[in-house]
Amino acid sequence: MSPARAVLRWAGVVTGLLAVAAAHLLARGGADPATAAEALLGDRSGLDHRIVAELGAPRLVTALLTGAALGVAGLVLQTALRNPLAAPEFTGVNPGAVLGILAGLQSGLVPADSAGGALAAALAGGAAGGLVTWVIAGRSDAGGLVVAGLLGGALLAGFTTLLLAYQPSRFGNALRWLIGSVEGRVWEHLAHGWWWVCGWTLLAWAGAAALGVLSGGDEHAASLGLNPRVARALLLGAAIALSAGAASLAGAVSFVGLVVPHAARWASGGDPRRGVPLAALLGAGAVTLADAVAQVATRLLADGGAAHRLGVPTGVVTALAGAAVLVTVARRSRHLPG
Amino acid sequence: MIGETRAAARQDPVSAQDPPGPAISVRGLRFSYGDREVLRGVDLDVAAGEFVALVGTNGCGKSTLLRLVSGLLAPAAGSVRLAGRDVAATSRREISRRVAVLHQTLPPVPGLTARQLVRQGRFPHRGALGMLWEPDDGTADAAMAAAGVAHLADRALDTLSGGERQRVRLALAVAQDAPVLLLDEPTAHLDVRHQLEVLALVRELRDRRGLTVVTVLHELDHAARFADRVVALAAGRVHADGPPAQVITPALLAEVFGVRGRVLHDSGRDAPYCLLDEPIA
Repeated sequence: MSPARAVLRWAGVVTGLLAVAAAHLLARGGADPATAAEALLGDRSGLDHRIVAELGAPRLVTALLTGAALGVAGLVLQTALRNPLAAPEFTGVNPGAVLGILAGLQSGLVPADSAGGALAAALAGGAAGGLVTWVIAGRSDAGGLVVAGLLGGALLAGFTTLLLAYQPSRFGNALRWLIGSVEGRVWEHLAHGWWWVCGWTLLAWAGAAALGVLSGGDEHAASLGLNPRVARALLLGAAIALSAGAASLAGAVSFVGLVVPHAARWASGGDPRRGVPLAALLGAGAVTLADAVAQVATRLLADGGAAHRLGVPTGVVTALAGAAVLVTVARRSRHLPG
Repeated sequence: MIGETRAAARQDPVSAQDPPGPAISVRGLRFSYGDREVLRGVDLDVAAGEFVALVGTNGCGKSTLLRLVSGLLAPAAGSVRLAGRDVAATSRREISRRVAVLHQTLPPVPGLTARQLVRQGRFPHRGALGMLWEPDDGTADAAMAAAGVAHLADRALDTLSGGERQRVRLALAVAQDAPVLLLDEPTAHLDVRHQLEVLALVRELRDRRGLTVVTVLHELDHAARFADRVVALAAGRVHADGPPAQVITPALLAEVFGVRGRVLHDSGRDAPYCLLDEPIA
C-alpha cells in the first residue's frame, strides 16, 4: 500500500472514532452539540455544561480506554497463542479480574470507588484466572486452550456466584461488574486506569515486532533470534495487565476482546505493528459505540414509561452485537474464524 | 559478556575476527527424544560455501541434526561450532545472525504478506529500540529480488502457490543475511517443476552470496544433481559422506534405504541417478 493511502486509511479510522465519540456525548440527551463543545473547552456555566464535563466526558473516556485495552489484549492473546478464539473472556483472565474486584469489594479490602484498589484487585484476579486456565490447559493445543479457558471461566464464575449468594444484598452493586458498564464513572475512577491502559498499549505496540515473529510459530521465532517462551510470557503479561485494566474500569465487557482483533487483523494484514494500534482504535470505537447505543436504549426505556430510570449496561450491547457478529461469521465460513 | 556480544554484532558475521575453521563443525553429537536415541555420535565438518545434502530414512535424525546445528535443540553430548564458535555458548540472537533455517512448515498467518514475512528476517539485526521503529533499509526488497519474488511482495502468503511460498521463505532467509543456510526438506509437497526451481535458486544463492548450505533432501537424484557433497545418516551416525558419485551407490540404497536399485551415470550433468526397483524383503 502506498504511504498516501495508508495515511488516508488511518485518518479515516481516527475520524470515525471522533464521530463515534461525539455521538456518545450527545447520546445521553440534554446537551446540544454547541453546549457539549463549550463544556469540553472548559465552559462550566450551565447545568448541561457540567453534566457533559463531569459525567459525559469521563464516561466517554472510560469507554474509549476500556475498548482500547480489550482490543489490544485480545489481539495480543490471539497472536501470541496463535488461537483465533483466545480472548480475555475465554482465557480466564476477565472472569478472574471480575472475581478479584468483587472479592475485594465484599471483603472490604478494596474501598468502594477506589480506582487503585479496583485495579490491583482486577490484576490479582486476572493473573490468578490466567494461571487457573494455564494449569487446566496443561500442554494441550490451541483448541484445548479455549476449552480450558471456558472451564476456568466457569470455575471462577462459580466462585463469583458463591460470593454473591453469601451476601445477596450486594447483588445490585455487583451487577455492573458482572455485565460490564461504564455508567456513572467519573474522573476519580480514571485516576490510574488512563496511564495503566495507555502505558501497556504502548508497551504492547513496542512488542509488536516480536509478536509478529512469534505468530509464525515457535521454531520460526527461535530461528529469528527470539526466545519464544520468554517473549510469549511477556506478551501474555501485557495482555493480562490490559484485561485487568479494562475490568477495573468497566467490569466484564464481553466480546470486544474477541471480535475486534479479527477486524483489526483483517484490515491490517498479518503485521501486528499496524494491528496493535488499529485494535486499540477499533476497540475504543466499539465500546464507545456500544455505550452510545446503551444510552439511547436507556432513554427509550425511560420515555416508554419505565418508572425507574433503568440503565442498560454497556456489556449487554456488546454481548448482543458480538454474538450477532459471531453467528454471522460462523454461518458464512462454516468454520470458526481464523 | 554482553559487551562482547555487542561487539560481535557490529562485525560482519563472517568477519576475520572469527577463529578460523569450517563453517560448521559437529563433534560426537548425541541426542535423544525420551528413550529413543536419534543421534549416536555424529561428526561432520562443512566448509564455507559448500552445498551439502543430508539424506536418510524418515526419522533417522536429519531434521534433529539441523535443529542442533542451529541451536534450537541442545545436544545430550558433543558440540556444534559455527565458524569456530561454540553454539552452546552463543546467544539465540547471535546464532540467528549466523544461521538461517527454513523449517519444514510455517504455520499460516492469515493476511501476512510476502514483504511482511521477509522483513521479519531483519529481526535478529535490530536493537532493543529498533523493535518499534525499524528503518526500512531496503534489505528485504533486495532479498525478494534475489529470490525472484519481488512481484509477489504485496500478496498474502496464503494466496501463493507452494513453490512461490517456498521462494518467499528463501527470501526471508536471505534477508536474515546469515552466512549459513539450513533447509529442512525445501521441496516437500512441491511439483517437479517447483522442486527444480527452488533447488536451482538455492544453488544460485549459494554461488552469488557464498552461503554455506546444508539441506535435508529425500530425492536422491536432486541431491546428486545440486549438492557438492552428500551425507547419509543411518542408525544415528554418518553412514557415508562424500561427492554424490561416491555416496549414491546400489550399496547405499540397500543398506540405508532398504531398496534394491541401480545407479546410472548421467554423463551430460556428470551426476549419478537412481533407478529404484523394489524394497528389499
